[in-house]
Amino acid sequence: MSKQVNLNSVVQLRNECDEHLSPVFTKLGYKETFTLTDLKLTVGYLSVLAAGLLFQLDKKYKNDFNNKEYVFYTTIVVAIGAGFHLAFLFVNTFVSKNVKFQGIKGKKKLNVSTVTKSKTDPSYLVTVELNGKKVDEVVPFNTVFNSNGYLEYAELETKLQSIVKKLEKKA
Amino acid sequence: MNVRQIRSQLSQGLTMAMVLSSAYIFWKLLSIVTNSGSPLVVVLSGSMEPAFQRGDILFLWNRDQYVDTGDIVVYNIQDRSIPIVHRVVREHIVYEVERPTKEERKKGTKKGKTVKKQLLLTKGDNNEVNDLSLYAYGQKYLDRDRDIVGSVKGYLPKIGYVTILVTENQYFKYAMLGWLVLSVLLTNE
Repeated sequence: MSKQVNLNSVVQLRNECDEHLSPVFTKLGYKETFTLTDLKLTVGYLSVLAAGLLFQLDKKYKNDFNNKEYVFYTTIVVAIGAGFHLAFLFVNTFVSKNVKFQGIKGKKKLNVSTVTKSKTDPSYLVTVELNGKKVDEVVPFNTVFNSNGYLEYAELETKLQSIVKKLEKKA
Repeated sequence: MNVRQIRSQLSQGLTMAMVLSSAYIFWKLLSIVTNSGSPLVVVLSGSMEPAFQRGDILFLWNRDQYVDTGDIVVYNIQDRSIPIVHRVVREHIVYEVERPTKEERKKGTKKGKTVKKQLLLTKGDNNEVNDLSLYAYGQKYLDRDRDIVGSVKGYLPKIGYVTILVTENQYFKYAMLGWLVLSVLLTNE
């Protein structure tokens, strides 16, 4: 069920479309996988855990930098925490940037990334990647939203499924 | 709530937690590099005017073995939570016999060892007298190793005034909080 969104907000339009990607591709038989999301969550929360541990050390040793034991433990935890943080940034920036759906159907692997060019350009840029073959498609928001601000789900579904079907034929 | 929604909620929580944790890890990293428990401090009083004004942010470094006379240092006093920024006006190098702790004495594992110590006397540039009255009861000098948080190596004028406003002006504090809450509520990303 779609909700009413502000048609003047490109961010809201994009978010509403992103939320409906999963049923579109699931209908085509692609089972959604959360490997990247889980990786991001694990690395991210490990980094937060390291910060929590640093806070505990700070409380236990009263932030006394004359205490060699405190400095030793703090250095180790900072190195671990910074490592996790950098790994999180790497995954976020290079691996899963704008990826909104990942699914598998047999040996087929589907990756869908979406983005909007700017806050003033109401175009939904969709990149669909199927087993390494990529297609970029521009979907203007006025073709998938009605004038009342509700998503025309059937329209979005037709447009996105046609891209995947084209790719499946090529593959 | 399905698995997708749980992950979405966790991701949203992570975004906020990452902002706080990364700032904290960076702060601790800075502490390790400078060997100081507080590598940045805000000047809270006018006792070092005209060198530093209220609200200036100071960058500290605590890796030099000794502090020179004339250096501006930040130090802590026992049982006082606020660090003080003043200039070193006198220094002494003394040799002291380090007393072993009770346990060490019982075990006989450690005997008194002679250590070289630097003792410092400080004064605010804008103050008439030195800091003896500020030190803890019975304390005549600062111990370079125990009391000094770091010596000042650089500063940014006035930027830390926000901290003073938040701590001293409750209206400003509530305005800041309100602005933060509003910005979170009105952000669509």
